[in-house]
Amino acid sequence: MENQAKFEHLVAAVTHDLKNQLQSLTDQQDKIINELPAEYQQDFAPMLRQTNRIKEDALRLVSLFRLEHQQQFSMDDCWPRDTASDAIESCSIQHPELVFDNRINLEAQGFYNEQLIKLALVTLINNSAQAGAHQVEILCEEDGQQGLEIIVHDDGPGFTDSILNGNTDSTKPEGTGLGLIFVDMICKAHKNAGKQGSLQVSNSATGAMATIYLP
Amino acid sequence: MINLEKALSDKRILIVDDLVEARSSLKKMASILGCDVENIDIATDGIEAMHQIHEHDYDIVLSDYNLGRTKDGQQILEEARFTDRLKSTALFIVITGENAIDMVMGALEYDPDGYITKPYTLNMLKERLIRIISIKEEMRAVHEAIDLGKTDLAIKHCLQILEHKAKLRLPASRVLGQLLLKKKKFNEALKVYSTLLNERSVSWAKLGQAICIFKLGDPDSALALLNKTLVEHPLYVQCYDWIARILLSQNKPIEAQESLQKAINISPKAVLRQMELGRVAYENGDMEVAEQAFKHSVRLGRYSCHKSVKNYLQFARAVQKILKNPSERATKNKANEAFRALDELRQDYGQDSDMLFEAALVESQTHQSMENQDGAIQSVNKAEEILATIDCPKTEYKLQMTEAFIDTEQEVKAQAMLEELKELELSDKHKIKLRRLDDQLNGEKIKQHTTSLNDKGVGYYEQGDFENAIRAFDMATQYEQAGISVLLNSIQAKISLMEANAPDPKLLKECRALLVRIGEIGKTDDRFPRYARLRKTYERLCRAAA
Repeated sequence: MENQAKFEHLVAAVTHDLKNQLQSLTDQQDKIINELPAEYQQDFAPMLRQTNRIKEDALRLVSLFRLEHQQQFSMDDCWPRDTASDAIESCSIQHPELVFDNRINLEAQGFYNEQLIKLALVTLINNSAQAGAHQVEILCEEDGQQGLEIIVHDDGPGFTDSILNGNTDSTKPEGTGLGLIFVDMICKAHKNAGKQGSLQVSNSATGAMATIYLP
Repeated sequence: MINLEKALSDKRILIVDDLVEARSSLKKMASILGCDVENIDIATDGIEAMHQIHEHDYDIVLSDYNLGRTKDGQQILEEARFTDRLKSTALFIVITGENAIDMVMGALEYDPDGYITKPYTLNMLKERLIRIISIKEEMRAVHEAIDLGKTDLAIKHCLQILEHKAKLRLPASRVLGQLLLKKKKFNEALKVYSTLLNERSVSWAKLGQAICIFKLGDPDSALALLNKTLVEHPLYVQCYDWIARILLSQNKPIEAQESLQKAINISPKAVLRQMELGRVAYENGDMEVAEQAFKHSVRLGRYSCHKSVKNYLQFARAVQKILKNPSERATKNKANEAFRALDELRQDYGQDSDMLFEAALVESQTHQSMENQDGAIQSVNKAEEILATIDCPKTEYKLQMTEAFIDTEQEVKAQAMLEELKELELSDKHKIKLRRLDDQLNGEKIKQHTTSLNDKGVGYYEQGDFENAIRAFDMATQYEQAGISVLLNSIQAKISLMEANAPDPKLLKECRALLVRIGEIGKTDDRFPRYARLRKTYERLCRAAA
């Protein structure tokens, strides 16, 4: 346990430093952009996208590491509307053409690790964008027993039969399939009151639907 | 849900961050969200933050967790609440990255009202602030009761919230658990934590549960629970603190020290934790660890509410115990560290005679370890002077003073102090110490001293100054080590004075006591003729006095 703690401590320290630098980088970018005349601000969009990608990837890497080591994530009261809003904000930089609709009730409340669920939502939205969707709506349903479902619904071509049947995980021909696996890992890391989280994929009449269940 | 702009418009806010970009960015964000820039103060580290908190009444503190070398955000929170400088109704929000989340979220006693994880955007900050302020508002009645010191009322409000507002069960249970622990209602607190854990696996509730189980008399189960929590959250440092406390209660100080060392490895900036490690290591005789821990306590406590005389003294004591090879540079440096700490102590607490006394003794011991006998004697004499100024000094001080006299070979002073102590009603512990000191006292030195007093007496006697002669012999005969010849000299001086004047009952009584002390002398003894002559004169004077 002692070595594990030391190792975890080291990883946490490096990650902390990385996050500090990322925060500082985005703060400085925002400052510079805000000081520029409006007509030049658009020129910085690619740089912002790159920074955002690095930020998401760094968080993904850390989360994967911790998921791999089956470490516990701290969970707390969270509000899915805020989490979805954060994910949308991040994805808007990456996919400015996408139209979002956050349809989650302001009062909806869950118990989860916000950073992980935000990453899961970002991954699902990226999948939708890359599959050719133009619109993404995010919904939430509380099951009345403290459980929660967050649904990412798009107007794209929908999941292929092989994904729906569980034969493959990739949503696109060149995809690695890691996206859905990652989201599934995040869901499964959420355990509460003897239940485990899960990811369900399905198609609606208008597109793909990914449902994150959190106990 | 609250209107953030309105809620922030009249709030006095403190932003604490050691990074300049982070400070200015957060300040800008706060002003965009509705704060009046005039109402925002900035602190660059924990010391400055505490200074500001002592100067102003803040409604909201936004503090980064990692603040460089001094205090971290959690410690600012603890100190602000501990000193009652931040009301329960005021908000403390910690901004944190990866490495502190378990510690921040797990704080059982001084928990922040909320935390914001990096990296965050304006939108994220806005959302978090709305949620945190809304919860605080919904629990306002509880916090107002706490600020008024009405714990029972606060408990009542918490129970009402738990009954009617299911979505507040986490924050309400958290405060309720704290209040019940404060009231030592461990059964009720355990119920709160256990009920919550059936629904929500939160680390602080596991710690709370373990504390209650321990307090209710089941340390083994509490330990098992804490160890299990640590497997899930290896950086949850407060668990190590409680493991150490429980192990100490089980009389396992070595294991307790190990647990505290693990906690320190993860979170080295907590003064109280460093002090506890120092104390436990000192008791365990592990002076290397104790010295380091006390050194950190002094450094970390310097600008905190936990600054104390004890920290400095314990550091100097621990240093003194590890000083080996006084000629080596490293040893000299170490000793100088101790001297500097004692100087700083004297500067800051110069009016405290008890402290000055103890500091002088530790200083003397340090000089001795450095084989500087003159310095040691000088410090002991300083201690002696200070002791004389203390009204009704503790018995412990007198015992320490005696020991210091013995250590610096000032046996006569030691003997005098021992005699004084023998007159007192002592506890068993003090009696044992007194006996040990009595055994340590070097009789030969005392004998030399009585001889010199005796010589002085003889000088006066030869000049016919019987009164001064009696005074010198009396001083000599105070010591058990005074030989028969000294006792006989004393009798002779008293008798001579009486023969010159008149028999005096007081002097006769003293002569009798001295004769009893001499006991029987064999006729072959060289001193017998003198003894017999004096005895005869004494008896004659007694008859004359009758």
